[in-house]
Amino acid sequence: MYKKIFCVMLMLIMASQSFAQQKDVSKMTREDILAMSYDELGAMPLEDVMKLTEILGVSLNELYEMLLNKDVTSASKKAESSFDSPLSTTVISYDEIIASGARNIQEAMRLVPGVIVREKTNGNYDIHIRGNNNIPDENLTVYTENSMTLVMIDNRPIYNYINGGTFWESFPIDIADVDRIEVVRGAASALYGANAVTGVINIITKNPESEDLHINGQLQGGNLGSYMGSLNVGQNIGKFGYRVSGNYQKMQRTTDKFYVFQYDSLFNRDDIQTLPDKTSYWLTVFNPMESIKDWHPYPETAVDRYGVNANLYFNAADDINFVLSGGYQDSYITSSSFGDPSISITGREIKSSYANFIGKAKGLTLQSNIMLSEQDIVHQNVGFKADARTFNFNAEYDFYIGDFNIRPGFSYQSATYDDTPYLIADTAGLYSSGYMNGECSFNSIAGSLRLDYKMLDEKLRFILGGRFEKFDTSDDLYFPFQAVASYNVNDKHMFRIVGSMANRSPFIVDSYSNFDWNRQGRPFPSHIKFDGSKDQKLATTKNVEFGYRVRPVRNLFVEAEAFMSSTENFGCLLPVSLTANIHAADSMVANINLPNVGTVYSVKQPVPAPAIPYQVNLKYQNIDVDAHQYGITLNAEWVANEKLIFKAFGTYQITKLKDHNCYNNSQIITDMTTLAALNVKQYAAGAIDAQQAGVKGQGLDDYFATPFKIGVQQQLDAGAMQQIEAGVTMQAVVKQLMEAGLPQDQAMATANQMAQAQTDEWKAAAAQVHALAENAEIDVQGIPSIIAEQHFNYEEYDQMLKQLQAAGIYPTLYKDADGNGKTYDGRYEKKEIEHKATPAFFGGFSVNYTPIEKLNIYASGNFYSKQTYTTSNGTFEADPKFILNCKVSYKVWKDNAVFFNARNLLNDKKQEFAWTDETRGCYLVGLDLKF
Amino acid sequence: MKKVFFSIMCMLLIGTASAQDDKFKALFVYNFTKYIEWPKNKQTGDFVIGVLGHSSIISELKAFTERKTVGSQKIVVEEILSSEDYTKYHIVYVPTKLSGQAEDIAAKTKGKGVLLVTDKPGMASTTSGINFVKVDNQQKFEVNTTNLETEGVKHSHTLVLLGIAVNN
Repeated sequence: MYKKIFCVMLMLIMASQSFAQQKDVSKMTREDILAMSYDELGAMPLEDVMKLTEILGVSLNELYEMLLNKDVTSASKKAESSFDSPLSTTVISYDEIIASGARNIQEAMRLVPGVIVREKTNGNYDIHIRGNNNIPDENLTVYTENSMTLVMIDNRPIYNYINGGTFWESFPIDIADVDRIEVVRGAASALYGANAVTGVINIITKNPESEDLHINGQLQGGNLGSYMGSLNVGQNIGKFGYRVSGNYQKMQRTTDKFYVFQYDSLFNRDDIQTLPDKTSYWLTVFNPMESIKDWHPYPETAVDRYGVNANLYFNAADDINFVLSGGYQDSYITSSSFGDPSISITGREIKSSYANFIGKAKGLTLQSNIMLSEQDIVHQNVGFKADARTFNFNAEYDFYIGDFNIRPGFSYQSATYDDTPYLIADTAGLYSSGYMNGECSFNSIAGSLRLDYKMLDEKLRFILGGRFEKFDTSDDLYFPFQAVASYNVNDKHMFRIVGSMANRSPFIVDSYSNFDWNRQGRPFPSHIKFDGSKDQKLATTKNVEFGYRVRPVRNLFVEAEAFMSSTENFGCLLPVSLTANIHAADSMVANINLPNVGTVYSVKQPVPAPAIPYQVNLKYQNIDVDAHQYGITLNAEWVANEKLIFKAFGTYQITKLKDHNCYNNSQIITDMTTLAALNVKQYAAGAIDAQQAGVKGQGLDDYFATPFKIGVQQQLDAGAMQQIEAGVTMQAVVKQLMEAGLPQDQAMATANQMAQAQTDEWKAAAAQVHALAENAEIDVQGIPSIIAEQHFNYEEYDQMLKQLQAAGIYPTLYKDADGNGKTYDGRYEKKEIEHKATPAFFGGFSVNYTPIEKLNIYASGNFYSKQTYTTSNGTFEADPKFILNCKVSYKVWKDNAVFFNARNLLNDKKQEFAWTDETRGCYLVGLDLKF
Repeated sequence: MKKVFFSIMCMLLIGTASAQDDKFKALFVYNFTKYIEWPKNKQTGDFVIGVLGHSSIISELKAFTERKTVGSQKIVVEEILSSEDYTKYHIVYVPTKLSGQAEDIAAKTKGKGVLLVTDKPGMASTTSGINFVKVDNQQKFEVNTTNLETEGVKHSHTLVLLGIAVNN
């Protein structure tokens, strides 16, 4: 009896175990299978082995989808797989950013195809999609920075409306906040409004995913004074959720010296204050009216920033949710300069706060945000500090009629900048020392419509999007559009063609510049006036793309995108008129106190030239140049297995500038000045002729009506004013000569000789003008200066050159490097040139290797070919470069890992951006947190 | 430096990509012994599985077949490094890179009770009785019953059901 019971029970147990085992196979996870021993696997029947491979395969497929076909929302403003994205799209996930070791969001952009990321100073980057920077060339260095790409956080533009581009360091968030970064290459203003000219970078932040407390972040520190951390905490509580985050980052420069353009070398901060100007030895390179110690209180600091954020979520229903976010940041960086100083890099300090609301109910999406900031964009340089206020409101409604997806929208944007809180008003209550000297703003309203139609089982897709946008700074109406056709053949091949047009917004500098740059104590001109102009056209690009995506096997993704674009309506500040000082006279005496002796040496200083530009007026104007770009980007991602992921991407592109004007402002100003002097001479000669003809006093008005006019300046002449401020710096000349090895007395004598030689030269030249003027019965003895006004018309530059040529004067354009003239061909030609500021070839790769579950090795590299910057400060050639990075992390507890992180592993010191710091290897250790 | 780096990464890449595949292919090969019946004259002595050339599947096969038998026959795994008498083997596995030799082996072992297992798309419809393929990244195998009969082995119907049946 017992035996029977025992047998039955045994059979039942065996049967149940057998059942349990079968059940287990189908429910086994990939990790369970990988953990099985050879004996366990070998004991399985083939049926079960087949099931195991299916589980492994399915899991791998999921992995492939997760890695190779991420969801993206920025290309259509709704979630879709990146394989189906109608635009050139890349998504970088938080996990990949963390694995890569990128120190901040800027550096993470190095993982994205089609994006050029160049480090300026340690941890500060210039980031371009496809280039089109440094246009116009031969102009301010700031034009070499990106102003063509719209950067957003959760669809909230983080944009610098002063002159375009993004102050990346002023982000309140950091990597810990990021869920993913979506990058859309190509014109996208139809979707996102102005400034999405070459593309959009949209940083999507995390949402709390569960009611469990979620914490993630990173702490790390290393050489180059680097220490940084970011932390994100969030969870859902019922229908509500919260997320708070904070970040801090400090990095030092690779040097505490500063590059001085005139000397083409680095100097200690404190030596720059008294560094003599090479062209006028009694002046200094640095503005004597300002203090370089104020400009650069922290010469060794590259980045010093922090930010805090708080987000509240309310998920009323699956399709009704709201997010309210707010935050604050404070940043100081030392990086490429916004202005036109004598040194290449300056400080920038920005404090800002923001509030952002996003509400989604059914198909309706409302977003509104405001950002208030205090921006000192050339630190402590008078006139460059302002309060900024930007406001955005967007409403869109997404609905279907049949197979048509329709998305109408409305948006309003306002950007206001005010520098008066940081200026001192004169007695009349007026401001004159600022860049704008008042509150300036531009507002825009826009209506948009996007039609999305799918047919043939959703394989064939047509998208038509357009946007009417009106800026209150101009009467023009802008109509960026986007037309897309895509065909997804069989989930393995996807073809698409895109035609689009996009435009920039007005910028404050372009529209509202009102800056009188008082250069007293510096080389001429003594004043440069910058004026904005609202009636100029906005830079606009037309873009055509052909795209092909293929997944020949599920673990391989290859994408090719060929693009061509034409961009016009660039603009810049160009001379429109100048006032030249034609008179020359002896002026002041510079006294040099001989150190330790007290003897006073006298050095006579002249007014510096028979014709000098005293005041130059620049005005923002459109220029003719068009940029034509052709290129192709290839991107391949291969998930070899769950342990190894490989990516490689590269872009080859050619940019040509058509109707290019190869002159710069200095050349124009020099020619204008020369022409002014020429006109005075001709005037004087004309007056003499009139006198000899017996028509004394007659006809002079005719001469005043010529393109110049002559006046008198009843005040101390420009040169003298300049020297009064700068005479003391003759001591610096003597000091420099002594440092070069001359004994003190010889140094003094040499300085005197130099000054005297120039005096004699200028006097002789000036005497000629004097004589002519006296013959014309102008009482030159009674007045210190003859002032001639010369106008410049961009369209009539050719006439100006001809006039100079007729007088036997070689225009500056037609002089070679040695100053020798070339014969002017009689017609000024705009040329087509190859634009070399954007590297022709750039790209990168990454290998993400997880040999064992706890260990991760992420190696990545970026490279770019040679690039040539051409600015008013000269030409800078950045050599080709390969940057190798590697992060090795080991999970010590759950997903929390310790790591070693090497940026620029090979310590390649080559500069990546014009006249900025050498780069160095940055080696860090730290902790990745996730629980 | 760059070359060294790339070389290391490529080696890692190749190594890890194939390791798991080999493990499951070896597991399949071992399992085939349960669904194939060899001629009587080959049911004595050791059961010999031959792997053509140097292949990493060898170590996986040895791991699975250690202390295992087919019937009463002890399983032995051998590398086939030269053109020899293939008829002594019960199973000959031809790795992808040596697929060009499969036809020759098939001709030499015709009717001799040698299961030829290949690893290249299309081989089952021309040369071998069983061929490994990947479908949607899942490891599968094709079965050509005609070729199995030509090889002189009998198969279980279950094997055909579990695999993908192909014809010449």
